[in-house]
Amino acid sequence: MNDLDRRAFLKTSAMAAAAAMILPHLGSAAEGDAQAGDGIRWDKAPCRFCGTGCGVLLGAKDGKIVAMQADKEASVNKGLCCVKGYHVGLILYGQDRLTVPQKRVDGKLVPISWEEAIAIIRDRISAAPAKFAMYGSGQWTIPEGYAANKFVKGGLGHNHIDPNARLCMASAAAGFNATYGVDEPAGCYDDLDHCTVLIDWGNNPAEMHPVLFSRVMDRRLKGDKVLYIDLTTRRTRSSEQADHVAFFKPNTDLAVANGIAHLLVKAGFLDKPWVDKFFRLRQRVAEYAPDPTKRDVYDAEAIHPKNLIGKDITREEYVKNLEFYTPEKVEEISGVPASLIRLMAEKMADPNERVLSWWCMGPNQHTRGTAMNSLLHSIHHLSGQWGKPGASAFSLTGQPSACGTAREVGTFSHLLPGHLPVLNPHYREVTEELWHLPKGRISDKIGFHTVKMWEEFCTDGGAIDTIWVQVTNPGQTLPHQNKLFLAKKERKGKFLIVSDVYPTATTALADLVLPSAMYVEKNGMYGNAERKQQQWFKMVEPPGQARPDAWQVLAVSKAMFDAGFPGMKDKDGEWIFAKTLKKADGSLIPAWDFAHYYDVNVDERLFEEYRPFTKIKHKDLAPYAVYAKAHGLRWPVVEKTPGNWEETLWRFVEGKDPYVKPGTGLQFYHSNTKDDKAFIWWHPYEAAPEEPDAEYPFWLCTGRVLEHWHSGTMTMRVPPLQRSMPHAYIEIHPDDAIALHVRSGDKVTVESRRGSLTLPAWIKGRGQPPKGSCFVPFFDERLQINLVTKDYHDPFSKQPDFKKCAVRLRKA
Amino acid sequence: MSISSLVIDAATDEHGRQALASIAGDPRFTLGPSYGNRHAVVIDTPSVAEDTDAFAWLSDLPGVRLVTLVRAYLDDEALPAGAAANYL
Repeated sequence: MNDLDRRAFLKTSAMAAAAAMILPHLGSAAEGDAQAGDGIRWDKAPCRFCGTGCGVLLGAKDGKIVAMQADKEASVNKGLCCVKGYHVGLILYGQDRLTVPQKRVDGKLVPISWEEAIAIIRDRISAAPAKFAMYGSGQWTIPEGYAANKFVKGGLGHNHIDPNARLCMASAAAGFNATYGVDEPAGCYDDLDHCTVLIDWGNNPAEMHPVLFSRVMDRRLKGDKVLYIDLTTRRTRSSEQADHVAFFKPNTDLAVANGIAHLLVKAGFLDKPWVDKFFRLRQRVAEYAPDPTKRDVYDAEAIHPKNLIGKDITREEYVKNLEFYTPEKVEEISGVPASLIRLMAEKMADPNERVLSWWCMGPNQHTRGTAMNSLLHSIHHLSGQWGKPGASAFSLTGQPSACGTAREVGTFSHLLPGHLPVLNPHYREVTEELWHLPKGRISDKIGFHTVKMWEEFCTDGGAIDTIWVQVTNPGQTLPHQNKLFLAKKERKGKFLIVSDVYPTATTALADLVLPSAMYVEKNGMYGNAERKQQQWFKMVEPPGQARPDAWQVLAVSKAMFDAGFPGMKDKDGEWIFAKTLKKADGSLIPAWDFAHYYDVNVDERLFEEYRPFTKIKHKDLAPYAVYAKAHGLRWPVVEKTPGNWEETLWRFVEGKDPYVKPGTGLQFYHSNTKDDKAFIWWHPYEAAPEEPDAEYPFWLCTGRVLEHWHSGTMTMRVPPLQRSMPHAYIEIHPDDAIALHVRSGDKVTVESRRGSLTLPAWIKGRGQPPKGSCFVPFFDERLQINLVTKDYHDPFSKQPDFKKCAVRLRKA
Repeated sequence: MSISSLVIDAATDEHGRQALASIAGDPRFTLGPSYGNRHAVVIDTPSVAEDTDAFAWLSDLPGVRLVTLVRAYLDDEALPAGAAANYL
């Protein structure tokens, strides 16, 4: 086919694909292509970027990804994609892919063999296993995270493994656990198709989750009435579509939620039959001061589950607690008009409405994140806006497998696979049994959470001296970079291992760099924000010597076993992954030798070993082979009839959730109080630990932009995305800009008690903060705003607050 | 070479009609079939950068209320080495 023929062919195919979207009778565009030929082999995968979990079809030809289209069969995106997803195939082809292992010699990274790299890691960990930690990711595939979790918790016998998801949705997980006794949303994206009122809580879905946002906006364009309320700390692209926009002062979202609860109580909602039948009124056990200097003391107390699940309070106490939060008082605290608080309460009180609350990093990256998440669930419980399609409280996620790998596989330092708490002796025993480990191998101590792990690593004499990072970039994404990452430069005896696909701010300080295969260069499976697992097969070869992260873990584990490290033996003295990799005849598939890694589908072996864990908390997953055929399934996935696996759209609801007993209506079968009841929480508003003052008079909020995904490692290497948003910037209100004598493009220095950064101003740009506030995105490794942010975190979830700290600004 | 397929939602008023006329008159775009206020569009440009510019132009066009991407064919444009390429 010559170029002109090819161009004409591609144009025809492209038009067919677009037409198929609006004229459904035309059928699948992918099928059309497959029939038409052109030598492109199409296969399904979830998008590599955010937690939405859009389905895409990638086209491979001559060993390269050459085409992409949204998957019309995917229920998440129904054939649509955002600008990042549109370019997802290009992320594989940056010119500076890491292709060989390298170790640092005299300050420079020099190539070494994989054998040498594995031996270095083996010796480093074996010499001091208790001082080793693993820092992973919500971008680990499910099998990768599972292998790493077993390596650390089953092999090393401690729990110093944590995912970067600690930085993005740990508060959501803690809020679910505190309220329902089990993690993850009860609803799903289908709520977007049924809601009549959508309330964004500190969220900007037009840029962060554009496909989901367009799902609602598209309904409005077609004439559906959906009232859209944007509660925000700055004007965003989402605000442009909203019927009501209200700017709340940072940290006061708790007051707004309490204001709604106050009005619902006044309207008699405590007397509604569902309140006593399905819920208990709760508050925290002990008062705690948000004083960050007391953080470690409170951390130790908050770890205990009794603090997370609180204690009962009476109706009278609940009413009395809320009395203070009149709409007028809340307006005074938060800046949200009393009239809007009344409107939201009225909508929630109206049984003819379907109210959906939506949030992501705003309520999560928050020193009161667990409390705020719990309050959001609570106002839905109190109002009855729960358990019906469109009536739900839904937390979005930022990474493609934050739910699937971090939360469900339990790669957090306090969890075991299946989201089982390590503090529970029964779950430790179950894990030891499923992993065939000697009794007592799993540690009963919670490992270091992310902030603590890096604090220990960056401190002379700290408890951690080696960290292995996979699939994430803490050198850019940790808060308070000077303290939690850059301090490593000054410390002796600290050793940083980084598995990644490109050079990053993290590899810049690494002592050992391992080249990883990425995305469709390996098999994989992700779990998105609505409990949906999606599987894909390897489509192209990785460059050079890049290898999958799961292989790297298996190879190190086997090398330690061969060297006699006791923890890598199971209770029969076999390698801890031996049962994972045995053939039917009992012989072992040598998958630790990369030449044999693809002799078997290692992903499938690891996944099938993981599956029994998922049933313990009713997060049942189907067999791997079912996912290989499906376009994603939402758990619990149960086999209704032999071979017929059905997903669950709404949990805890009779008729929707297979585990709810008939006649119960709603059944919270993992209730913290073991009475099938969930909680309606009371939490007070409290000021942020650091607020603007005379010395640092501005609020700083950090976040993301449409074009770039997180630290920009992938998207900054995609030319159209890089050109569209080439560098970070600071948004300032026009009045503040005048006072600072700053115009768009002028350099501004933003400075906190922890560090400073100079970058160009963007006035009246895409977003606009209110007076006294500024915003900086974190995608640009040359302009790292995390030099400025603080590491104060929520006492329960340990999630840092990237959304608010005090800074001062000056024209540079 | 970059070819991408889109669906646009156009306003049903005069702005929408003018937008469709502008798209039809621009050689970068081919207008396809319509269903209600939704229209299939293909962008054909020499490079991914121009494709992105065309997409942005379309998104900002008065009378176009929503643009959604359906498919992209990628070209072999050289990709930058490093996220830190200096654009400042």
